Amino acid sequence: MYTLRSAFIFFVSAVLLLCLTPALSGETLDFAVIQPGQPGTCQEAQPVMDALADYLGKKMGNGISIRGRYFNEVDRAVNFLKGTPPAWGIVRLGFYLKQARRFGMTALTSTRPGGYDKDVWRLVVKRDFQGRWESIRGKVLGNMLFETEAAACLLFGRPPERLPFALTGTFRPLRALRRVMRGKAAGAVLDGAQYRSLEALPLFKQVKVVHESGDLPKSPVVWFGPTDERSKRLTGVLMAMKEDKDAEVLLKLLQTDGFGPADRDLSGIGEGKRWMDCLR
Amino acid sequence: MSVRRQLQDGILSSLWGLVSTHPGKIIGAGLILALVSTLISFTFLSLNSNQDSLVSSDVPFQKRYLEHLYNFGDQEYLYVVIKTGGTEAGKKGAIRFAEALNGRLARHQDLIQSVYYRISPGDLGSGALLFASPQEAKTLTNAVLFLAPSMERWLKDRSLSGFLETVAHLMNGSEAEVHGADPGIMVQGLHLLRDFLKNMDHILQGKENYSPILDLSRAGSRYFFTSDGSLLIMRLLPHKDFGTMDVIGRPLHVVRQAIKATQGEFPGVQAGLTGRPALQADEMETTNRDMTRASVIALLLIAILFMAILHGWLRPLLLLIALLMGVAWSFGFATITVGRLNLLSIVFALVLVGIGVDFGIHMVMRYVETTRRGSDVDSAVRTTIFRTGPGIILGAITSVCAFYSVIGSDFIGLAELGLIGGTGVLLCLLSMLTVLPAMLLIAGRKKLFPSSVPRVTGLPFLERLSRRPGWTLLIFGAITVAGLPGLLNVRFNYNLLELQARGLESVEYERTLIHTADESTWYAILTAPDLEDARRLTGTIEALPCVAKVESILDFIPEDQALKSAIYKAAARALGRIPANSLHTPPPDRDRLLRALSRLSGALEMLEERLFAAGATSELALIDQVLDYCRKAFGLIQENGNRAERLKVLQTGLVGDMEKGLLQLKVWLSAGSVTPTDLPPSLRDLYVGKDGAYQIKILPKGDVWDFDTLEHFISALRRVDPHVSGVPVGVFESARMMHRTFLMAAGLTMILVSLILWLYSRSFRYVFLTLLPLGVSMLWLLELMGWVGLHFNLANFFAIPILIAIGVDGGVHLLARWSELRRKRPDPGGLFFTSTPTAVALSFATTMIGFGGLMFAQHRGLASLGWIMVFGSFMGMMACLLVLPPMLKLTGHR
Repeated sequence: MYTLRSAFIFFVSAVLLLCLTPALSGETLDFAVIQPGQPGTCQEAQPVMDALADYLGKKMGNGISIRGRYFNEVDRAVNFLKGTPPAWGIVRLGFYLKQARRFGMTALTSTRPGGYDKDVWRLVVKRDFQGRWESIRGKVLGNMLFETEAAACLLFGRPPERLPFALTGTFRPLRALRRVMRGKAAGAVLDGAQYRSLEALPLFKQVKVVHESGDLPKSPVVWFGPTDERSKRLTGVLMAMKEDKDAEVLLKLLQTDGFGPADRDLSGIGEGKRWMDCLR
Repeated sequence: MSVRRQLQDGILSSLWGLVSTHPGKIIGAGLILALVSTLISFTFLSLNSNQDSLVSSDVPFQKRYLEHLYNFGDQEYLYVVIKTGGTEAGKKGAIRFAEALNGRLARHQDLIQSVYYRISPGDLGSGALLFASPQEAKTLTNAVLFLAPSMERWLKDRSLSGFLETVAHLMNGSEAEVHGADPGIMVQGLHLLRDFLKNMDHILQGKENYSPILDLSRAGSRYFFTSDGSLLIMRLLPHKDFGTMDVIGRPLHVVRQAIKATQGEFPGVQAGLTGRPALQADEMETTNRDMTRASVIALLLIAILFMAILHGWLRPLLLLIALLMGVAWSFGFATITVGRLNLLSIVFALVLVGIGVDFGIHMVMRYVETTRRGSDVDSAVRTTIFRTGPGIILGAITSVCAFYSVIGSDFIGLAELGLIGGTGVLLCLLSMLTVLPAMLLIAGRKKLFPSSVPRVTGLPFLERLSRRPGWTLLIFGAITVAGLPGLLNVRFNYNLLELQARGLESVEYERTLIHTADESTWYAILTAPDLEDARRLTGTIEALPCVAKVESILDFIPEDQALKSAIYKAAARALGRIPANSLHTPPPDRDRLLRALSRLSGALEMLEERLFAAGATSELALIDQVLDYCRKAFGLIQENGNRAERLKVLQTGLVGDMEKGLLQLKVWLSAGSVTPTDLPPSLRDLYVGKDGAYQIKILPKGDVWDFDTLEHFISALRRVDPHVSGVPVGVFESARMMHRTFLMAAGLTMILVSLILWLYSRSFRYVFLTLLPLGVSMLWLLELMGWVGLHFNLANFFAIPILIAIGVDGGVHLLARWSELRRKRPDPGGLFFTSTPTAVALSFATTMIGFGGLMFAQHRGLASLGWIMVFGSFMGMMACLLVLPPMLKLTGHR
């Protein structure tokens, strides 16, 4: 009897220990940054991923293992998510709209490149172009256009097959703009940051904007799967980075001013609903 | 006859005997003495414009200050204040301005000893890198570890194309391991690359030679911005010449010229000069200009007045000659006794002119009055000496009391002024009693004066006012009582900055500095025998709310030295493996250069794409320039392959610079620790004294020119260490000492004057009546000052002893004449029919005119002196002419 009771206690303790262990140590919080169309290579961006992982590892507490991966190609990113899905990620807006349901993404926070809460995409053409955007024919380039369907819905509110021109993704948005100037492309789509860059260049005087999206959400930080205590802690750490002196350099490397609350449009209401309907 | 009277008559008889028998010899002797005095003054009398010499070196605060000065050297700076507008672009503009100005000033090292506006690694000695924070140390180590393999590879090759390939390779980032590297480093790198490629283009075009692009000793320089970033401060140490009035006249001129030229180069940058030496020099210049203008106006007006009242030009001229002789003798006396003039005693000549001329006025007026009544020349001069002489002597003695009362003061500047000024009054008196009568005698005997006589000798219209003495006094009494509330408003303003002219650049920029949180041209000084004590004192002082900033050697002794040294070890090892010798550099290869430039262009374009996507606008503009130079270089070499040969000089220079930089970096990365002895002498000597003590500079918070703030600052520091010193302490203590000395001098003068008047008359009533005009006029002056908001300050307080002197003088002369009239008739009406009230009025009028020109001076201290002297003299005149005569009638004094 005594032996049986001891065995039962040992069994219960072992089960409890096994259940609690992941919560106490050995936890992983791997992430993926998915920015389709971003210039450069994954290899070049890896040190920044490592720096972010290092920072978060320190902030999230002992025993948590974090690794980061970077993707600027849609297919490779999707394959990665299908194989070994990470806990969370920072994804481009188009990718989110297209893949959110498939991979069970929940927006936790949003990035704030340049300190802006919202983004605006613009379709620019040569200055001497006459007419409305609907009269454009040929190829329109942009580094956010790899997710063609999402981009068409976000920018024009209609699917790509109903557009009179072809949307084509590029890793070199500046070169795309120069191709527009040389007449080798009909137009280029620029996001807010790229448009601000353009304003600083002599090229700016040679182009004009023929169409603008409304206010768009910035790239969100997403959680893959059901949110839990860890996602809340992560949100807290990310949101506090702006005030953290240790994160100053890291934020510059991530090209964001910090992290803000998740954009309401991403929860499928308001503008979000319209985009979703367009995509369906 | 009393003994005093017998003595007085005896002296005056002897004087008359001498003057009447040997007038020519007296004039000759006076003239020779004046010439000799002038000669020795020009030869031996020196000027000491050092403000530190104004206070006795035995006074504890001054003793400590002089010891500091000896121990740490002169550190009284000129401040060039460069406005930045608080923006990054403004800061960059200010840095360019400062660098350009420094370049200009470097040509005048004989006038500007040193310039401080930035601290560079090169200034910090071998431990320069230990000043970085641990995080910066890690970043630097990572960067060195990242760059070292590329550098090692390139130094084996040493070619220009190899360098360009390495840069392109690094830019591609395929080996990027820059964990935690600040993207700002990339921007700095792009700037360097732009300058390098620009230089390359120019060399290819044959426009210029190699110019170094990377000077590690200057890299990461920290400029002296105020904490809010609104100002960049340059501290300049000028050479001082205390033998000149403006002390730093030449350096100041050079600095102002350099600032002007630099402003021409950078028209958008606002900059100006301030600091105590600049303020003092500007003050000296303003006061000189003001005094000169006032003197010219006074001279003209007094000449017109004298010619009108004394009839013609000869009498005023004789008076002037006698006066100048007295002043010249005084210069001789100053040369023999003191040997130098200081910033205060230099004004003695002006004071002598103001007081000495009064003696002459009384003499000449009496002479004119007597000759007008028909007396011959000899009788007129005799009457003048006998009747006016005693009053003048008594007036002179009372004036001398005012001056001599400060002789024992620790305020050396005032004490010397007291001795020279007081004796000068006596010498002027001597001249007026001997030379002037002698000249009047000769001119009169030779009938050189106009045959007609002056009409304005009396003031008969005032006689009517004193017919009802009781009513007159009652009215003035009522006015005085009504004005009493004004007394409550009179203050003493110690603020020296408020004495300065408005709109002066040095004043305006001083105000700009006052409004910044952490910069001041004044700082207090404490010393600590060792570093531990310096740390303790610094900690205590920094916690004081009245302290803006503390500077000491501790600013240059890095913290966590062991930790940082350990961080750098890996980087030092990595660099240690790289050999550094520049024996061989291959000739530039055209084809390889073109390939390297092409690769660099590609890498730059890729980087440009990334920056474009990230919205990095400023970096994008920069990379655009880099690309432009890169493409130009490519085009130039492609166009003419022989041009590549020209790049040999660039390659050699680059290799040399890199190796130099490498060596420097190796030294810095290997440094174990930094102690004060490791610092370069130029830095160490600023904070470590000759005796090894450490200097702690304490900059006050707020407007330290405000006396309350200053007092609070000094009191707080004295609670920490009673031996605190420096300019704020000097100014505070000197101002208080000056105030105290003036008050004591005024009190002592009144006591001495009263005593002398009593000894002269043995009558308290006489003393009371003589001092009555002075007392009444002072009361009126204070009331008026209170009503018009005019306050005492360190510049105008000087008016009080002068006003006492001339106020007593007026009373003495009027009482003497009244007594003289009473001796002739028991009821002596007609005081105003005599020349004495006119002479008294003229004395006051000359003072008013003399100082009146100052009322409109730019220097506000001088202007206030002008107003007080004019008000005070006018009140003195009114009290002498309107209060004393009715009082004499009422009391029936004889």
